[in-house]
Amino acid sequence: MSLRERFAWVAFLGIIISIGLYVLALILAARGVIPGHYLFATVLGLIAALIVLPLVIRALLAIRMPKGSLTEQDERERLFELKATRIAFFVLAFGVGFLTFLTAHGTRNPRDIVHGVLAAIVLSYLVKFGTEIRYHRRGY
Amino acid sequence: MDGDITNNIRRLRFENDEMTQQHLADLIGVTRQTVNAIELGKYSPSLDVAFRIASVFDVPLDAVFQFQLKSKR
Repeated sequence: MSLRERFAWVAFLGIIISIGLYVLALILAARGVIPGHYLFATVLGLIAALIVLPLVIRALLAIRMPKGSLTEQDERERLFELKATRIAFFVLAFGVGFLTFLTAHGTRNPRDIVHGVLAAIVLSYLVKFGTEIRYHRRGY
Repeated sequence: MDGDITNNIRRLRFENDEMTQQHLADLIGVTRQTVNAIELGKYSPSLDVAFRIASVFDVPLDAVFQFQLKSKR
């Protein structure tokens, strides 16, 4: 498995774990097990996990596999990332469009809107890294 | 126009002191996985990489890669 594929796996699994913890926090807050204001902290934690966690894990993997980290992305890996990003963009655009429609014709609750935006972002990240993994596994 | 691209990279590697995929990858600046994908015909490299492969083996480009047009019915 190449270093880039490991990055993609780590990011993909990291996002799933982060969103799982966030959903758990939502459920616990809805049942009154944890105070509602903890949710704001978990949203911040989720955003930090989406941005910071992949960077930290990449750094750790690069330290473990210094040879792989010294090489830039080669042309095939760059192509995989570009194609995956393109597909993820459409997912994000659809999510934002759908949320805009819902906001105009449905809920005005700020919490629902924030959750909708988060869902669109998380789903697009999952699609991006999942698609990269698929390309790496398939080889083309 | 559709075509098939084939290559002799595996044979050329074996003829050059049984060069490994990793060694060839290091020489041309790509990953071992990319070399494997090229050999298996799953990925067509850029001209830059194709010429680098040919120069590693010191052969012309068409000794490494062959293109066959598929006949249209």
